[in-house]
Amino acid sequence: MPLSAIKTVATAQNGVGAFILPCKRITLSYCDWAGSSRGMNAYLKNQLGAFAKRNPQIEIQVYKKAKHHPVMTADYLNGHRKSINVKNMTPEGVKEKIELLRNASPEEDKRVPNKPVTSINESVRGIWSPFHGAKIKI
Amino acid sequence: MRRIPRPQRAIDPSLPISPLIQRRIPPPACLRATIPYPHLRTTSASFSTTPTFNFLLSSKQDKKSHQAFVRRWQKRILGDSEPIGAHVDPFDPTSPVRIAPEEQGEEVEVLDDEQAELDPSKQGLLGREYEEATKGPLLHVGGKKWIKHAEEINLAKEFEKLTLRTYTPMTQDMADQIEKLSGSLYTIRDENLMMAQDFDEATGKPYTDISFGRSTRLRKPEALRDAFHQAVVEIYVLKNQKQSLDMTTQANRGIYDPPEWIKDVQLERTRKGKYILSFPKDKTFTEETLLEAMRHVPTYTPPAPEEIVEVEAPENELLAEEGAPLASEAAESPSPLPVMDPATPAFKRAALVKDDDEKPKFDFMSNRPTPRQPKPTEFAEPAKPTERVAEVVVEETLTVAEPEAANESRHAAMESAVRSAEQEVSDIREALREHITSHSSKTVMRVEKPSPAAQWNHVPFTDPALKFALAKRVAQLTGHYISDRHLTSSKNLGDLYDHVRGTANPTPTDVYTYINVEGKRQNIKRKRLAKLAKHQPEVAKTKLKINAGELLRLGNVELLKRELTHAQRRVKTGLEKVVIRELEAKHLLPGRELEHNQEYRKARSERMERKAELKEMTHLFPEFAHKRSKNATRGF
Repeated sequence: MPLSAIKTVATAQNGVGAFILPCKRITLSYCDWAGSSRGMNAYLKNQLGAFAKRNPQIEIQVYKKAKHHPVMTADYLNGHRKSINVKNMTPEGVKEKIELLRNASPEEDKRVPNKPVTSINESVRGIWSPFHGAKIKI
Repeated sequence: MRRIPRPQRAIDPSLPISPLIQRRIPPPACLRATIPYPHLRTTSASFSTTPTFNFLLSSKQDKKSHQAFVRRWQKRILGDSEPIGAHVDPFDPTSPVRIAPEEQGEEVEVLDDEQAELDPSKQGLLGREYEEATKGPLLHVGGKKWIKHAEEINLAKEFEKLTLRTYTPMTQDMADQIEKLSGSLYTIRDENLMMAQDFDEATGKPYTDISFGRSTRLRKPEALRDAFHQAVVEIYVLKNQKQSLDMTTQANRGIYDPPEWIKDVQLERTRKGKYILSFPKDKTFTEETLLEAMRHVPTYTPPAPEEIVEVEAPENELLAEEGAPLASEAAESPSPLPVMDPATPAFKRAALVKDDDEKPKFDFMSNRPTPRQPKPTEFAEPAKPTERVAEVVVEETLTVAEPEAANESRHAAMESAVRSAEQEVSDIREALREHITSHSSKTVMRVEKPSPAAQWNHVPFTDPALKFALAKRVAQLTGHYISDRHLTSSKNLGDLYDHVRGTANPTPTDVYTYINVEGKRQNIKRKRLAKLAKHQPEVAKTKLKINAGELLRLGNVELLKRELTHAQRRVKTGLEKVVIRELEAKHLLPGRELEHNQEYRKARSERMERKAELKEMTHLFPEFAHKRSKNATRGF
């Protein structure tokens, strides 16, 4: 029986062929009474419409949470969730944070002191060993 | 041995004690108190309570007791303000203050028949006979609330009797409540019932001295504009005629039916810079006629009494046929009501006799030969203004009828053209204003390019009295009160009008309402501009700012009043249906299994139909409706 080669399929990566925004939902909570929510309230009244129109792929939920600071929470495709407390921020500050959440990676924020690159692909030039190179005689 | 003399009684300190012992043994203090003056004792017994004659022999008397003694004899001899029966035995038959045996509260046997004869109305509110309840629910009798309500009824009746008038109601609901409590109508401002009816129709408030304004506020912009226009015209007319600017001081308190042509009165600017009223081209449309209309007070003329037709019964017939009128009897003249003499001074008018329906009335003039006739009331005065008004109305109708037929169509066409042009111009102005940043407050809109139709906005307030009179009149017509801050800062008619509009439609404070209300308004404006853009390409070029209205139209935005609960989240993510299907498969949800059962569904639909039918029939025939009380339990 002849052997058939194992068919390899290109591993799909978000952004290589097509790109799907990882952020799928942003939830905004505000308060009518708290002073820390003034910036958020102004943003909801005046600027959220433009953001929602420019990002139709993101589901936006706005709800009132009385006697609490305003918070925005983003849900990502891998199930991860990120939230930012936007208390006492101006509407422009709220706008920066919502764009930060939209542009953020779905992975958890980790410290990477010694590993600047993380990849699933194998190294192109191979892993170094002492036997690589010229003038090596055993 | 020397003998020491012993005292005869060791405990008696009165007897002389030898000085030898006296020094050694101090007499105890308690024994000294038993007998104060031992040398004046009548008895030798110690601790005796027999009275002593200390008051006769003792030189030093107790001051207080002496004073009390003197006072006591003074009272007895000279008399005092003590009550008569203070020292008198009330049960002694010879005493002047004896209590009669009836008042002593002797037990009197009351039989059941006697009790039934007693008048229940005289017993009072709480002393009613027991009546078995035939229909539920049972009345809750007693308790603080019930007693308070009963007292309130009595208080209202007492107030009415003492002052001959009811409480002054502020609203119609209050008037109804007062009428329910006191059982009589509330006191109206005066006897003019026509005026009261007009007042009620115009304002919705009771016709009293303190009623002002409307019960409901105007909200629609067209109605606000018309009311503002009317107020401006009225105040300027009063100013030009040099009359009081306060219309509430008039007899009709500013409530009248304004003429139709008041909408056509405009403000015009003269070359000198003054503003005058320009009336429509007609001789009858003048300031004087408008002033007369503003002061019109409606009156009521009673209809003429109908003549009584006498039918003579036939001689042979003794019994009257069915339906045949009987012989007319002389109508009994009603007993003349006693009327207070107008000559009585004001300080005596307050001394009125309490009119109690329960007690029999005492006739003070029982020996008078003939009853007093009430003085005829004067009806001659109001005839004059009605005649004048009637004349004016007749003239107006005559003069208006002639040119109306000729110019009606032309006028209507011109009016519609002007209004449509006005609308288009204002829409274009608003579209352009989106790009203009204004530094003024939110409620005041600054018009940068005033068009000819909106000149009245710039009429300045030179006289503060006029401004305040206008604000008061606007408040009376619209029900909206302009705040002091806006009133003092308003410099022209346009500012005042904008504040009235702002008060009528305040910006919502909470985010949810703001987005829904303002967003809806912005979407309506957007649609209107989109329609205009088809005919006017200039408007199509203008890009409108994306605002709250966008949030309502977008499909990816969800506005919620409250945070979603866990159950709602499960439904949203689709987990709920998966869970329910699994439970159904395991037969853990019997209710839902029944849902799939065809017989169950059929029976349920039949029940629903029957219920709907019953509801419809109950609506058509309410007398057959079965009223279920709140406390009744459902029988199965």
